Amino acid sequence: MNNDRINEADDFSQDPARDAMLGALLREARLRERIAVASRRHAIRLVETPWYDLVARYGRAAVPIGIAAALIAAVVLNRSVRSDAEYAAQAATASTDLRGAVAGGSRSAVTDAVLGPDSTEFLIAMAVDR
Amino acid sequence: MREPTRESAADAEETALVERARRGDPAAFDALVGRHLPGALVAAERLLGVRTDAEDLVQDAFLRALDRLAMLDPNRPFGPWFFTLLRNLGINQLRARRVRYTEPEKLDAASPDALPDEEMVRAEVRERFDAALAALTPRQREIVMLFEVEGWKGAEIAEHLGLTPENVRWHLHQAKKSLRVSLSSLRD
Repeated sequence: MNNDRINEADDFSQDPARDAMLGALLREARLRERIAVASRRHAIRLVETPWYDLVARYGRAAVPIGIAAALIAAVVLNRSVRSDAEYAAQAATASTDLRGAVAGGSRSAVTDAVLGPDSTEFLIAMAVDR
Repeated sequence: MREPTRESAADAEETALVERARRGDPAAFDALVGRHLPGALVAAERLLGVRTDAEDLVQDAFLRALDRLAMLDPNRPFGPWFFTLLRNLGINQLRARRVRYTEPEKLDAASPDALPDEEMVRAEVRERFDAALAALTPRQREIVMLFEVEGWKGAEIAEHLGLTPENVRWHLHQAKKSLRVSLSSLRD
């Protein structure tokens, strides 16, 4: 029983004086322990964050970012479908047609060269060519 | 007069601790906490005025620092960065509570500006104190915490634990004796 050992000490009939330095060190030790436990829990939480937490956290930012990315992708893809060489070839053909029409002197031929023929036959002709 | 070589060695050691903590080494983060905790507590208590609030603020600040450690420029020291973070968090808390306050002093001044030698002594004492605390029985530990930290009286602890007040004081005596041994070099 501890009561036997009480007799060894000087005086246990009243509380000892508090030790400010000991108290401060004990407080620090307790806080260090608290922070160590909390930091480990925190690290585990960061590793184990489920997908729905990430969605909840970053979902609002993801929508405009997604839209912007889709627009950029559309522009880039459209440019890559028609290359610069194709644009140049098309422009060269158009200017040759126009020069020919102007040299021929026919007003309707010039109009056709600039705006396209005034009928739907050219569509059929294009389809047959292909 | 400071010896630049030792100071830079201490800085290099801290940089290494930050790097290890950044890679997820919990012991390195604990060491950073141990180094800056005393100054952080002084700063937080000066800012908030209440000990328990200060402890919560310090804990929040360290967790926030852990979160943002990756953003810390490796060429910048941890201490001033951490104390700025602590100060900002504390001011936010004060604003949230809508408590009127005067502009706090620069908290960097409250950071532990210890010389490398002092820091080494502190770290050693801290280590020995923690070991002595861990070596106490759970009952002794609880009693000494309740008495010295929480400010309970012996009779209150006795009632709480179902012991006699004399028995509590005996446990307290034993616990303090063990802990004081670890403090002896600090008191010299």
